[in-house]
Amino acid sequence: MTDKSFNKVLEEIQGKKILVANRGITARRIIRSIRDQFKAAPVLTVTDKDTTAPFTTGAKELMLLGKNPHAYLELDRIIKLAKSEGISAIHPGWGFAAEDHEFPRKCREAGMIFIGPPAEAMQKLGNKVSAREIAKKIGVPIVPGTDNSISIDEARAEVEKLGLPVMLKAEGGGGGRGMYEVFDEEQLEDAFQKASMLAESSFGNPRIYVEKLLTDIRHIEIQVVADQHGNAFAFDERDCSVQRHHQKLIEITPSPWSGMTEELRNRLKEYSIKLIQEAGYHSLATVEFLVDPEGNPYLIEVNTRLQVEHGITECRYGVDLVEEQIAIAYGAELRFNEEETKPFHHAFQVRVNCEDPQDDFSPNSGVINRYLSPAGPGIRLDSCITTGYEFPSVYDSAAALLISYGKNWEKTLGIMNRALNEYIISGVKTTINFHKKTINHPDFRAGEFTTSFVDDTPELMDYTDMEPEALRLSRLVAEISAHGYNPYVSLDEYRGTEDKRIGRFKPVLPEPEEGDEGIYPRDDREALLEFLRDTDYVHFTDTTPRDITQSNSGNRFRLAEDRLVGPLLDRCGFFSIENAGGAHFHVAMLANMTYPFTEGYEWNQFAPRTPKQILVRSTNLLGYKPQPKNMMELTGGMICEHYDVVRCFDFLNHIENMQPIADVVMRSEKNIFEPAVSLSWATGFDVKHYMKIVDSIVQMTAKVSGLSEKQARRKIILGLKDMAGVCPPRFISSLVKAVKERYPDIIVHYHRHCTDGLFVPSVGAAAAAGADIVDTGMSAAVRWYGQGDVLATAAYMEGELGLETNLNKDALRATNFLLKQIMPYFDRYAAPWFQGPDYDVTRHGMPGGATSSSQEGAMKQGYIHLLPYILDFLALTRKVVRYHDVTPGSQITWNTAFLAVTSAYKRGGTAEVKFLLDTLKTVTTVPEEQLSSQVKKERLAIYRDSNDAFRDLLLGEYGRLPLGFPPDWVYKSAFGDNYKHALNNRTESSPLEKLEPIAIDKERSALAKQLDREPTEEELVIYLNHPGDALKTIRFQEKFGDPNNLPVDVWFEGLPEGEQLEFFDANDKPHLLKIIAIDEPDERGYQLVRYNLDSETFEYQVKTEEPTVGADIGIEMAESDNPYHVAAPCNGDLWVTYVHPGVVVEEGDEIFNVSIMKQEKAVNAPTDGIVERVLKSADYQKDRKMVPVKEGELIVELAPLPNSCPNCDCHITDKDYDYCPSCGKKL
Amino acid sequence: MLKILKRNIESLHDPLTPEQIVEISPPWKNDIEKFSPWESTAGGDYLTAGKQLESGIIVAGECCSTFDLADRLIGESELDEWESVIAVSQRAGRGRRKSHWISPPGNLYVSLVLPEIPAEWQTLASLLSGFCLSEGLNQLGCETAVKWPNDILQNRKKVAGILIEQKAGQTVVGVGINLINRPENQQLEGPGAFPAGCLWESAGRAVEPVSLWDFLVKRFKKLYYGYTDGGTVENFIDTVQPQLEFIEEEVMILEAGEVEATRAVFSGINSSGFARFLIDGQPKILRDAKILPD
Repeated sequence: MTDKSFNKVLEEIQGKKILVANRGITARRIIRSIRDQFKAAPVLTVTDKDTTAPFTTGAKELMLLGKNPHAYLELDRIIKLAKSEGISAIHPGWGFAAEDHEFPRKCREAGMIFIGPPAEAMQKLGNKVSAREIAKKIGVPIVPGTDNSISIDEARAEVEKLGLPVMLKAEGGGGGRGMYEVFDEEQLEDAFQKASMLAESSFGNPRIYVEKLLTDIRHIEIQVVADQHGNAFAFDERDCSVQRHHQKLIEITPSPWSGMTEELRNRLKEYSIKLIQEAGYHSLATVEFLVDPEGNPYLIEVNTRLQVEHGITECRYGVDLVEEQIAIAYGAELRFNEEETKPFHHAFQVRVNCEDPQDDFSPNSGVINRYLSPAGPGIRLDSCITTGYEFPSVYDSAAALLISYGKNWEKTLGIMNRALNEYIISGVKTTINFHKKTINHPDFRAGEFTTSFVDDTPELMDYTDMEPEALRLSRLVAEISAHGYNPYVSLDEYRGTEDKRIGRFKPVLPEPEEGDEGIYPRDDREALLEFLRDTDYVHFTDTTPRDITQSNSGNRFRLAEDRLVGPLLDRCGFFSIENAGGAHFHVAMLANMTYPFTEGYEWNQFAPRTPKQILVRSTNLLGYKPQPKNMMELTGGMICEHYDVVRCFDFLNHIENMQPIADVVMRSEKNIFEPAVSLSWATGFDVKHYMKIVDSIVQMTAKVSGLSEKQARRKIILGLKDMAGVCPPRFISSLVKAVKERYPDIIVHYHRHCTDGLFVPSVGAAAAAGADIVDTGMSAAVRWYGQGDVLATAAYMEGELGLETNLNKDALRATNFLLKQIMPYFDRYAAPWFQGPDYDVTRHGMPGGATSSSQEGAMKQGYIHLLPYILDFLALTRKVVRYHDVTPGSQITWNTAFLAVTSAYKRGGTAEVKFLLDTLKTVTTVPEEQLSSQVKKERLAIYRDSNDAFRDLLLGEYGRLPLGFPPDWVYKSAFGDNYKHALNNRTESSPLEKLEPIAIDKERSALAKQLDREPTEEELVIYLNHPGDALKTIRFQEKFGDPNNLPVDVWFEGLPEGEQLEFFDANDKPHLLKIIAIDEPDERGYQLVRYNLDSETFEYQVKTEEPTVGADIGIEMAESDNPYHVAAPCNGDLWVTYVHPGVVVEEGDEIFNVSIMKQEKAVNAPTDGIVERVLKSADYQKDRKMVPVKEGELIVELAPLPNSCPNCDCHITDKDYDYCPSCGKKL
Repeated sequence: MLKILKRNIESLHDPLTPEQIVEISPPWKNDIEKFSPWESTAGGDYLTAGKQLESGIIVAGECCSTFDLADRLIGESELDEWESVIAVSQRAGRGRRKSHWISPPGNLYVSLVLPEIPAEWQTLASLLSGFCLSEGLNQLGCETAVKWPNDILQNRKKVAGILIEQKAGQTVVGVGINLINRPENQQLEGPGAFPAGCLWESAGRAVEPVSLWDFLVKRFKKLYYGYTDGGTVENFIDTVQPQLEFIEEEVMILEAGEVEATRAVFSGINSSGFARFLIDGQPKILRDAKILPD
């Protein structure tokens, strides 16, 4: 009987036009049912914004509504258009006008079928008050309380009756507003007064009524359907307790709550059907209840329409509710009944919205640039988006409804988890990750959640929205390829896409050898030191990964190259590999965006046999300024974890400065402390002088370790550091001999640079004199800075000096072979100027790496013609102010010379410069007593242009100068009239003494704030040492992933069109990247890069040039005569925006604020309206960022107020309403 | 005009009687007595002083911020150009970009309504205000100087802060002066905050907030018109530039958005009031940078 009725309707509907007056997910859902069996013609309303949206594809015809995005509410117009189009029936969907009882009435009058309830029934059940009355009448429990407003006395009586806690509700309120919770008898009077006053000012109506405050409740609803013949059917419950601010997020059927008994279920169904029948209702409806922990239900309201979560009921029962709704509207008999309609699946839905849960669920809009939808068994998806779709900001944020269904609750959880992992939406933030956290929460899985679950569980927001590493790396490759060089490496643009490049890196790796055990013991200081003392041959340290590859602006080896070279170096038989510290630490982050300690960790993985060595500065350790002790403990601790030998130097040889770090390292049984003497060769810096320093080193280590001097010196290695490479072989020979004579059992480690060309004989001489360990570099990487070549040095020692070595020459050869294939990339990007050895370094004293970069700097500033003079100055000044030229000394010296010469030049040209140098020469050659007063006056010009760093040095801020303070005239020259003050205030104590400990926890919080998450220990330490570069590295890796996964050619040159790159991500998964095309720059300066990554195609815009069409490209100017355009009032910085799209504003409301020069200008809404677009926004208080804006620039665009309530979408029938009649929101 | 605001304005203003004011903030005693008797006005909203002032001053009790109270009073036509609101204390005093201005009783918290600023003085207004205030204080024997953009320092410690808030058709200058209290260094917000000082360290000195402000605002108005009516922007800059704290000195600055400080020489200001620095010998003009303390 019923089937026949449905079939009749099928015949009737066929070919008819059915209008869906809605958009988005709703529209698509309904259109599908219109097509499935009815074979009717779906017609869809669309505003201009929606005409080409993905969800319109199923419609046969579109009813164009024009420009106004809120036209979906213009009922009269829609009905008129429908009539003229010959529409047979209209489906209102959900939202918009779906519960406006005018809609069915107007349809009826126009002779069209409304797919929903009749107007009267909709009104009866849709109105809260009316529904409660009906419920009371037929015995359906409602939330206990007064139905009408009451006085304070009546309220007290009610509270007596109901019991606490209660809710005071404003009669005029709604939608969660105007409610006061009262937990205490004493509170009541006060709360009532306040509630009344607040209600008066918010709603214009001070009347209050009282309801029992239900806590710990669940939201349970029943889907009902009834036909026009009096038949009705109620489905199993939907549990919608997971909500936030009364917005449902997850809906489940049947409820997993243990308190959901069959008895309760049947009760709720019974109530629902009674309500429907009493109101004379047909079509779909949902009756919503709140259920307390004891299982007592209370009716809250009835929704007289199709609901968002209807799909889970359809999945549970295997029915099509929309189809039924349409059939019923056409008079069919209800096909559902107890006998035939049985539930057999569990199902639940998560709402995938374009919102950012971590930002208070604020709505997102933007272009969806990647979309991969889940599928497979047990998945149902209703979406309105696709790749390339620009998700609009002007409508609600629902993007998709994802449902999983299966045999039982556990199965549906498993399917949903899998589906959420498959679901990829990029370009906008969505709730996907939030849902993943929620459905895996144990309380959720146990069905133990109430309506306050989301608010009470902040850990649901603990997730990171990061795309897979391969995708992020691919964007980096696109950027480098579009430029033709890597813009992040802080190199200049030496090469571009037009230049001849080295090409693809295809290294031939040497045959892997069988591993021997490492020769040198690790993790045991005593054992390693004993080993050194017991052996007769010369030991070698390789500095290739550090000292050779850190200085020049292009040869900074990356971890990626270390990974290739390290395992080979490991087999060469080195005492240690110096792979960290010095500038390398800083540069790893600045240029290579690599975490330095992670790099250290990996070194010990791929080169486990050889001990590792690091270079640190006494006062600064690895950072940019002196560190207090507590920070040294932290940094020092991390250093000791990854590096066996810690070499420490002080450019003034102020040994006291080394104490704190000596303390940290010597405490560890696994690490060796290597205090190093900084060496220069000049009058006063003789063997006697240095022996005093060696003595103080031994004394210091004894003091720090609490041992005797004899014991202490056996626990360290003594470093001799000739960092400019100026001490000739005879000098180092006498020095080493002297050390060994006084301290025969101390291990001596010699370090020298090769710039002067005398590396081999000097190192040979040191070894012959008794030095135990020497630093050398790998031949293929040796240049004119850093160390000399290991093979040549070893050959000289063996052949000419009769010494023995224990190096694995084959392994060295193999390493060199690989290095020869890597170095061309670095050589290509090294600064091309001032290359080559330079014996003059013995005269001017600038260490090799610094010489070339400093001289290059001078050249670029246009002072190349002054270079000889600067070098002359260098040679002379070191005779006046005496210290050693290693960081920061070398910078100070250079800057002093540079400033003195260039300033003299600016004053009086070359003549003045020559005069300055003459004076300086005189001062350094003629004894003080013989100087004329004229010269004494003129010499004051020598240091008058020096900078703060030099002055700080004179004051002793860095430590005690090795040969004491320079003569007073130097102070007069550097400080001018203030010099006496300087003389009085200079000090010889350690700069570390005055340092206050830093508040590490405060710094950690500051960093956490910057990163928006808790930092790792390593991130904290690198941030403390170099905050700017650490942040650069952390953010770079968050954006692009680990750049060491890219080979050196791609890193420097990018990937040419048509070339393919195979790379691995952090999980060692291989990926394939191929550039398809790189477009020419467009007028904004952007190039589009198209590429394939693992068989998916991507497009990425890279800005490579400045825009050609005016500098204000990208800024939208406001139309001066447009009252809805709100512009920046002046050039300045936008620091706070108070609105986002969708917010309703009144004329005069402040919407944003621009600051300029400590003036803050508030900008107010020029008229009433609703915010449509926010072009620029800022929140300085939160993220300390301001957005520059130009005068007249459009910042916020408003739109006229719609005819519906922006909060609940209820249709506002009267323009004079100040408050929404449904939810009470102020309009 | 001088009166005490009696009206309670929810969340904006908690009124205090003259007796309560003295109790909470003893430095007010002299002024309360000097300007008594305080009598209720016809409408009941105010207590007018027995002795009146040329400048217009409304004394408020405990405010959330004088800015907000001033807004309200302006809206109700209770406050005109060159008139001010002084609060005994503020719950939510604010500085630049809604940072917190610590406001215990004893110091001076004022909002002064300015006339509309002429176009060419727009970006100089805060600097101008700083000077007008600093001059006034110096005439009283203090030794203050303006640190760009408009902090008032004495002995290189910040003793007063000024902020201008502009809304449709109204310009209000907020001034906070540390008379006898100053916040501890830990309480100060932001990296590189200048240590706070107060004008009169020893509480022995009698400090009368109303009398003080009356004097300062008269001076302020005179100087303000002196510079804007009587001269050009260039005159102003020529006059005040040499008096700026740190002029021609090497300082550490924190540029907007940076984390590490830069060494620079402060060379002065340009005609828009932006700061001119020399960084590594190169001139640079910065609109938004912070000069850091040593």
